[in-house]
Amino acid sequence: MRKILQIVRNDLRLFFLSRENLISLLFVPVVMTLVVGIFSGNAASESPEMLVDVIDRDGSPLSAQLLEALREANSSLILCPLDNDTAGRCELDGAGEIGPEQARGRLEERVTEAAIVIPPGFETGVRSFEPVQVTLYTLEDIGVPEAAEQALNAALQRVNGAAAAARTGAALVSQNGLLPDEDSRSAFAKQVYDRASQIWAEEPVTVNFEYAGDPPSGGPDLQSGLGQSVPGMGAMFVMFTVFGGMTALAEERAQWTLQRLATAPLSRAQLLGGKILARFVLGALQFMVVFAVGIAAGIQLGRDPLALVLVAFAYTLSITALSFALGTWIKNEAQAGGFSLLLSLVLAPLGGAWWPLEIVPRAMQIVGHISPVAWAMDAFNALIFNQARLPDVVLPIAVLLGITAVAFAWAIARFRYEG
Amino acid sequence: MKKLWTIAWKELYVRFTDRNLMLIMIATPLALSTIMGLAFGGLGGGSSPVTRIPVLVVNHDAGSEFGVNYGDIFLSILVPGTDGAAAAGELPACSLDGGTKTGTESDQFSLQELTAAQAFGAEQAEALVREGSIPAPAADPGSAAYVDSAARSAVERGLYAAAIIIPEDFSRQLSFSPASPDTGRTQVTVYADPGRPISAGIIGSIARGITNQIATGNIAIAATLGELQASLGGPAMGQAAANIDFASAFACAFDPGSSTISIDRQMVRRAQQENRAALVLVVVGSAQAMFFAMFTAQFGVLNMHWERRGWTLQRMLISPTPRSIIMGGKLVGVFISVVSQLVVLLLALTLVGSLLQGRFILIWGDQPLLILIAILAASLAVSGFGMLLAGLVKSPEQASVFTSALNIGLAALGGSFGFTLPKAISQLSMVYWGRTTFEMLAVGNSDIWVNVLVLVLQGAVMYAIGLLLFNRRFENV
Amino acid sequence: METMVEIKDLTKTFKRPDGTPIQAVKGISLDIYKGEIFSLLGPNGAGKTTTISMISGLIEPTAGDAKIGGYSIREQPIKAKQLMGVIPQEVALYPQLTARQNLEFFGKMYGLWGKELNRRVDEVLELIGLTDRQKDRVQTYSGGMKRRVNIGVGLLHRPALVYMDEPTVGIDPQSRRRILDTVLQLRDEYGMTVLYTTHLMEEAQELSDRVGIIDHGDIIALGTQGELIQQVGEQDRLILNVGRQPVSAELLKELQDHIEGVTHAMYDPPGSGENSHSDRGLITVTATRGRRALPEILHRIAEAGLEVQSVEVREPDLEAVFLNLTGRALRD
Repeated sequence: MRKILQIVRNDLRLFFLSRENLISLLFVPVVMTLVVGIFSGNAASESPEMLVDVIDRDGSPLSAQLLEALREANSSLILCPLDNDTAGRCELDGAGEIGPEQARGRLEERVTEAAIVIPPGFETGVRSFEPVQVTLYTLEDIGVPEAAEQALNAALQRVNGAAAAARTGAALVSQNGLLPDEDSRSAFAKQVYDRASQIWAEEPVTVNFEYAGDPPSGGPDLQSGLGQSVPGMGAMFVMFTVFGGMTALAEERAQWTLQRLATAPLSRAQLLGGKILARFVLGALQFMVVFAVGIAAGIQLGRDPLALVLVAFAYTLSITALSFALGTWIKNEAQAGGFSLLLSLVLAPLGGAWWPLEIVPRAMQIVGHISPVAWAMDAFNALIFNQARLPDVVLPIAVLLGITAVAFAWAIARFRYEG
Repeated sequence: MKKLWTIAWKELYVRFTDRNLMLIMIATPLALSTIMGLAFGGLGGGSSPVTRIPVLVVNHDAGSEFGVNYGDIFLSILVPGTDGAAAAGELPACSLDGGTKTGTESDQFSLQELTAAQAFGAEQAEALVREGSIPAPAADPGSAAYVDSAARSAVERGLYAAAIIIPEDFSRQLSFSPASPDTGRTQVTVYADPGRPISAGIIGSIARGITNQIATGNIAIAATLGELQASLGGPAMGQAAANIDFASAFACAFDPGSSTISIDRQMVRRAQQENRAALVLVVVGSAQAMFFAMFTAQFGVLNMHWERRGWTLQRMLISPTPRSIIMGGKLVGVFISVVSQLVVLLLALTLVGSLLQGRFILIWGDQPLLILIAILAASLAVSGFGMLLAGLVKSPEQASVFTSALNIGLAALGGSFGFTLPKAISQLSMVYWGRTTFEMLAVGNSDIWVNVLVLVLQGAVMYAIGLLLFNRRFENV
Repeated sequence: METMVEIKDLTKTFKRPDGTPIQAVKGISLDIYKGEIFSLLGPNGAGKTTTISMISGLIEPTAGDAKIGGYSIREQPIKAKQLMGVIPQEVALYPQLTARQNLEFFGKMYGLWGKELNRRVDEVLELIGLTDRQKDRVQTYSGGMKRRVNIGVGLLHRPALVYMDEPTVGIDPQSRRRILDTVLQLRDEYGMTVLYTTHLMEEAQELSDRVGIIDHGDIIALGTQGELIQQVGEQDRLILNVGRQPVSAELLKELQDHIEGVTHAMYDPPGSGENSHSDRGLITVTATRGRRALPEILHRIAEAGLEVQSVEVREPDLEAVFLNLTGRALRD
């Protein structure tokens, strides 16, 4: 055991002797976790700024009312050019008006997420119960068009509400002959419209949207963003760090220190154990760094810290085992570098480290579970967002440990001292 | 000049015969783009990747004094065939002449495609508790608090993406009563799973939509009856009311299909609607291509540090070849490597896109000349960045870690990782400029000159600074 | 004499990339006695390093076994390894660490700890003459200094048996001298057993108590130097320098077949193999009682139109033994 610990100590010393490793262990993961967490959290919930161009060809009180309703329906929508401010958040580059061509260009360049065109005669159309079409232009993007469309839908319902009231009211009185002449009937319709508008303004019914669980100190946006990015980026950077072990092993083989160790009175188990433990410690350290970022940002990590640690432990172990299993194929440092980049960058998004798997098609969710990352993310999500406890995440932990067992068995059987 | 091409050719040869480099240059970006294309583009299209969101609807509504239960109606919209809805009597069909039925069917279809809703009551709550999926709520079994708490737990536990809770006074508050002509206030609550913010957000919008529709009908009733009462007076009103079939009179106000306003949703380009998967490939593929082109350029330029270590650089320098030719040859070699890599990736992604779409399509647009210009500009920027780094770092070991870290950062900023940052931040990364250039071409927009200019300028400036620093560092090799 | 290493039927078969097997070591058996310097002499690629790798536990033998101080390297590898110090051909050190850190780390791997470790490290640093530079990173050392640390690591735990795999390859004459002296010192002062591999006849000749000659994975001769040379008999080697003049195969055949006493004739053109002289072509003739055959040899060469610039007569040595056994020069 003493010798194993010495090997671990030596490997850690070698790792930290290259100061560049600190960049990849600390700086980049911390920055990435924060950036991804903050921005994806915003994009996913409803508060980021989402620019929407509005071309109001009607310019009527009703169209203004529609826009107001739109803002209410989704507070993250910034309607351009109306909501432009001195900071120029509409990114208009000086233009005061937006024409159809410009709106299209802005969409294509992804300045805006959507463009809404209110047709001329909108108000008259609505009031006279004529069919009116509001056009919504979008680019395909993840989740955004749905958000814009739902908001527009809700706003239109509001605007339509008063018109619908006036319309049904007018129909009622005329069908039942309650009011004698056309003039009084249309006056009645107008009064109903105004009264309905007034009732709408009082907001008789509201929808209260709240996230389940304990309110996190960092706010719900940060919670959902970092709740995904902390384990996600953690899982990815653990791969970078641990797969780096393949490079280190190839390097030791090239400089013959591995062979020298093999001729020392060490058992194979001691030598491999030391090497594996060293990488595992680095991977665990990597997770700790990223989780520390999450804790510092004030996100809730769930109710069962022990389970969280166990998942991180099982995941890191599985990645360590995988890297040693793959290491048996690796012939030199360049190959190790190429493989670790390929693997980390493929397994991470596949397993939902970059975005939650909820947003990908079912088939991709299933395929994604060939990546250990997916199992870890399932468990982390359950623990962080869904108040799960250890018994709830036994399956993912078991799968990760299974991967570990198979990969280690392979690695130990196939390991060669010489390349 | 011949020597320059010899050196450039050697660089190219070394690069493209190295299987490990090909892994990074071609295989990784291709694999990543395909994964992202499949994740976001769907196989062969399909409207939204988010479908069948599991949602609970808890209906506490006790109904109005007239026996109408809007909570049941709410439920029946989300959960077709619910018993409660039938018992409460569905609203009669709207039969207004002016009503255009646009969109009704598609709305219904998309609602059912989007959600997998389930009515949730005391029975279901107890079942969940029994099977141990959720902890037993503190409240009395069967009470509203019990069901609420169970629904909340089920969402917290991630069993459902959201729970919609319709309050007991929902119908009462919304219903117009001649005694109190003003409507009261009521609130529908949506509990959302923070682990599935996107699905939950969609459920929030749907709940708002249905609530608004029900409110629309009731407000129509309230406004009309209120106005009738005001203009006809109480007794006349009461007499009139006795003869009116209110239910069918206001049916249209409850029917979303009767709205005369509809949304016409259009993609910016026709092509987009047809080739969704291909378009996603363009977006992610161009970002990945830029990301990995940075690696290629850096391997190339930084290789000079290794060559110095292995003395092949010195060997070249002591040959009767001017320094400028050696540097020139290497840089030309690196530049052509990057160009070739981009060309190969663009072609390969065209194939992947065509496979996903099931027919051959030019996913990068149909302007080969402009595409070539975009490739050249992007290659210049990327290899300029490599040159700058080569000038900045001291040793190849330092370089490899440092550059990977920088590349990942720039790629994340520029949108290679599947999320979009605010444009002002994105623009710091050349990945953004390269990516958007290719995107514009893909949707048929040929006005790429600002992007090209930015790329070329970036490249030129970085080349200049890099060369200066590099020469200084290598003066005494 | 007590046996330190007992090698029995040691075999190693590798697979070529195309799957065909290649026998690198073909079932060799030999004993190395306690306190002797044993040289394994053979050309590059003869199987020296593979043999050492097997008996140091680095690679698994395909068949056969080796006992180190009575412990089988296959059955009791840890005990066997504890007895030996291995000095690999490569500089097997962590370049980022200092000499002292390297020594300390590997010392611990051999079970040295605490004060004992410190004392040994100091001793070894003294022995390899790097006490002043012990705190510098190995990557800053010259090639010769790295080699010395490389040797030092192998001696740290005072092994009863030391393997040295071509320790003088690519090293300047001064450092080489130092290393050879160290080897002798190990035997004479510390009583260690040394297994020394080399492809240089001179080194084997200077150091060894006994020599094993290995070729194509087989031990082809084994014994003390005297015993081996006796196998060759009275064979002298005549080395004739013919400068840059071309030498025909017919001439060599003529020398070999038609002069009494000549057993073998060969030619090294200028700059070939170990013949680093770019202006000396060497004809090597092996002959019983070589001096007597010399006039006839010179005559035949002159007849072929060549002018001999110098002649050297060598008494029988290991080189001659190898030549005699394989018909090739050791340096090929």
